[in-house]
Amino acid sequence: MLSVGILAVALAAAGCSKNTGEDTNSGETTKAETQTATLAENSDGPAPEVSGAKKGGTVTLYTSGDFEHLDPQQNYVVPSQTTGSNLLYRTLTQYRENGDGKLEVVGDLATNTGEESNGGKTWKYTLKDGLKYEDGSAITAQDVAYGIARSFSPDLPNGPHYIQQWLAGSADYNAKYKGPYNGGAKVPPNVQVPDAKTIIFNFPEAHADTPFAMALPTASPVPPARDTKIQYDNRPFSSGPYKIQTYNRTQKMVLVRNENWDPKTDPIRHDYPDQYVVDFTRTAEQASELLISDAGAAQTALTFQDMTIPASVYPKAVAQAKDRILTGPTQYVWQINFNTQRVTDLKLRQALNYAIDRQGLLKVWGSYAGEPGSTLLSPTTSGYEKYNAYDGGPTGNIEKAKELLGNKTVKLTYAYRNTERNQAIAAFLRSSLKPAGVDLTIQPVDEDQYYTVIGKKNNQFDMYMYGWGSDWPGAGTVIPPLWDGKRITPEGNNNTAYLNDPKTNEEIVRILGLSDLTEADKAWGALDKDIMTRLAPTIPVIYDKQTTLYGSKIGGIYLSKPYGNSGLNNLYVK
Amino acid sequence: MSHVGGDRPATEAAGGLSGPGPVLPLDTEAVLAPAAGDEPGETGSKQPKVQGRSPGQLAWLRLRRDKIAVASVVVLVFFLLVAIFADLIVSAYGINKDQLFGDQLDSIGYPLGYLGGVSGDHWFGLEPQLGRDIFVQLVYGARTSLGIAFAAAVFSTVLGVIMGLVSGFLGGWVDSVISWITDLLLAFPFIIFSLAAIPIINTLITGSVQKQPSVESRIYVVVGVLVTFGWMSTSRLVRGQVLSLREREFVDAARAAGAGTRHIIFRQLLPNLWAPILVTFSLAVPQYVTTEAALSFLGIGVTEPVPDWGRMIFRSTSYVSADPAYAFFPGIALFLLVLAFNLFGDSLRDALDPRSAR
Repeated sequence: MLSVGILAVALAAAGCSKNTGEDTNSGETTKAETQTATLAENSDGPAPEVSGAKKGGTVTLYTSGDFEHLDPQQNYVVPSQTTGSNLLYRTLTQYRENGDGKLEVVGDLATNTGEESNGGKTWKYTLKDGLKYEDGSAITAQDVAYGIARSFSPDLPNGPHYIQQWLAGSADYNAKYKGPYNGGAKVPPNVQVPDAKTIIFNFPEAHADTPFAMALPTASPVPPARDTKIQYDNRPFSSGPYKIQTYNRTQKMVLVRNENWDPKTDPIRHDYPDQYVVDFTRTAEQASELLISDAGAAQTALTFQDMTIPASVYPKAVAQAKDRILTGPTQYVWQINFNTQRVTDLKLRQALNYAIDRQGLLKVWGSYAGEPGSTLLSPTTSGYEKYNAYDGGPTGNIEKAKELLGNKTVKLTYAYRNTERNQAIAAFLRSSLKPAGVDLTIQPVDEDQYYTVIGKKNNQFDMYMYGWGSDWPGAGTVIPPLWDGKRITPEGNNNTAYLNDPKTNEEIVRILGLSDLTEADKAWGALDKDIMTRLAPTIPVIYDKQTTLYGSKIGGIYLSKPYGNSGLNNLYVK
Repeated sequence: MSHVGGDRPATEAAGGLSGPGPVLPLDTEAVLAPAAGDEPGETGSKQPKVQGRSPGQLAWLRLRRDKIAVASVVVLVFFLLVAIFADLIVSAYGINKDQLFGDQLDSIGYPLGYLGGVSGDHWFGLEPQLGRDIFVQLVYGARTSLGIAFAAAVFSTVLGVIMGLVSGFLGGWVDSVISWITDLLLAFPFIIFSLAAIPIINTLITGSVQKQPSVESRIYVVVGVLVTFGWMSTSRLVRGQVLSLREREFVDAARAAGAGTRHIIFRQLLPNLWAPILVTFSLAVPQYVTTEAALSFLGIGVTEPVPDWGRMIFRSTSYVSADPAYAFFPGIALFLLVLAFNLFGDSLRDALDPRSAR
């Protein structure tokens, strides 16, 4: 009986007020904006001062669980990537953002974003003077080469693989060279280190995106003497403004200022707070509640992309902490892919594109955590162009879909990742597509197996949700992996629509060969539209959006475009 | 009324629901009633007519006089009717299972209006974010919950009774083996075991880790797991009763008359065991209702698109502070059903066993 009593009280407290739907929207509606990253002329430090910033204080970061990998060469998940790249280690190039939406790529360790020659195949980087590790020793070009070399090791398989694949000239990057361990060379193939300040990459093919790739933590220096192989996750050696004081895995990590980091060499980072404490023990709900209450340490705390405000807390967050919500688009696009090997009827694919109820779907998804999407590229990606090839209105056009289907009933199977949210989405799709004449069988797939299952070429499903985010704000990390039919293998596919269209494949090769980034961006945008208009292999549905809270004494916070995450470079305690 | 004395045990003659003393000794009344009925009519119409009643009739009388029993039966019958006539009810209500009311949700997906969208059209409101009608989900969910619980209760009772009868009557190594299995299964923590076993069973069904069985086969898996881990208590109870019954004279008599094992088990022993079996059955159903809900709550039970109370309650926990009405309706429904079943089970035991009457 007790439970009923409590429920009744709760009902009286929260349920008996009328929901008119007016107060629940977070005041500012973030418009998805086109973002083109530019290569900066000036890569000299120090970073521009942040107005109002002062030194001192401790900033707490809430993240969901421990970082899987803090080792720079294995770091590929946004929260740990932000922590690593903003605070702990420097890379050849990096992004400079002021929070005003302007995104520049600048030389970080290097004096510029790279000197290109040989038609985009050769890239030369020169290191700045006065670069030091946390122990005061000099950062050398050999250490950068060694860092990249160790990323080839089969023992460290988890980082991004762009630089390795470009150097090896094949997708199977460590077939021959297996890194510096067990007697391997300390410099990877096709890399030259003529002196301690120069590193030269000779790629077998042209890669205009090199300045972006060199901002990945793969290109951060590791001194061979400090390399503890897979143990390096526990104590990466710092080249950035902070160093690790203590790191209790799964509990917390404390970062203190690295006195040997010289702000005059760094065009991006600041070291305003005295300390950063990363707290791994909170759930998204707890972190959000703490930040709403804004008491004690939570006043100077913030969360990352992985701690989006849960639906259960969101109304309270809007009511009590509206001006402390950091929100904006991330680089992820969620799309409902058709398995084009099975769903071969173009009209059917187009019909479902018309029928999709994006507004309803977003409500199930969490409408504050996304925007309706209609393109293959996210608005944060260079080359993004806004269009909707099959505009059925915000809630979809069932009549148009029926017309295209000829009023027939079609049976399709939709596979979903067996989580609460995805199950609700599956139920929503099934119900919302029924009036169009689509009989959707919804089939759960084990949470851990989902991407493996739909990555198999011969999977038995017709449709499934797939999300993809760019590794840097360029379409070259989105369209080729997702839509190049020549990359389809029996398993482990990213092209889960299994689209193999000769015209698209040729165009991808052509654009990848372009050395002019602006021209390439335009061509990617056009290809995006062409794929959707001509082939409709997917239903782009949601542009992902970060919606997190931060404490009232946090200053200088901004949404970092390339990471789609809270940026730490300009952070200070008010 | 037939004879009381003589060689044959009274039970056989009394027939019907209950048997001789030891099980549930309905002794005083059970013996006195037929005895009084031995001289029918003689006393004429002056005295109030003493009517002979079988123990079953007596139990039925006691049950009918018990107000709690009557009330809980009313609730149970209500839920049963809802489950059986779900389609009719929903079509009269005018909203089908797949209808979505996204336009009646606010921009972040919470129902507009009072109490999670309760209105004349939506008696219990709407599911937040999804926008389905909660009443429709609840009505169909009753079918899922009761269907699974009844199926599991019937199968586990049958299995438990057979195992108990066999092991109790045969004794020896058969008894040892069955008791050993019983102890083994009782030692498993059910929920933890289910969390481990159900995914494995699902894998065995589809033949691959990467495939999940259809919703229908998931229901069979849930019933199967519930039965596998639910028959032991019945089996133990029955075995205990049989151990004492098999030494009784009427069993010896039957054996002396040349009756086979099967005849003795099913025709002599079983009729004496109906009372405890009925009670365990009626207490097993609510237990299975909650267990099934718990499995769905943990994500290893019934999946969409089959409506299910456990899953509704699980989903609603995320919204308790913002939309408590969503947790309220499925919570109350489950609470009422389980409470009614448990009260009924208690009353039934009281009625069948007057010694435990308060």
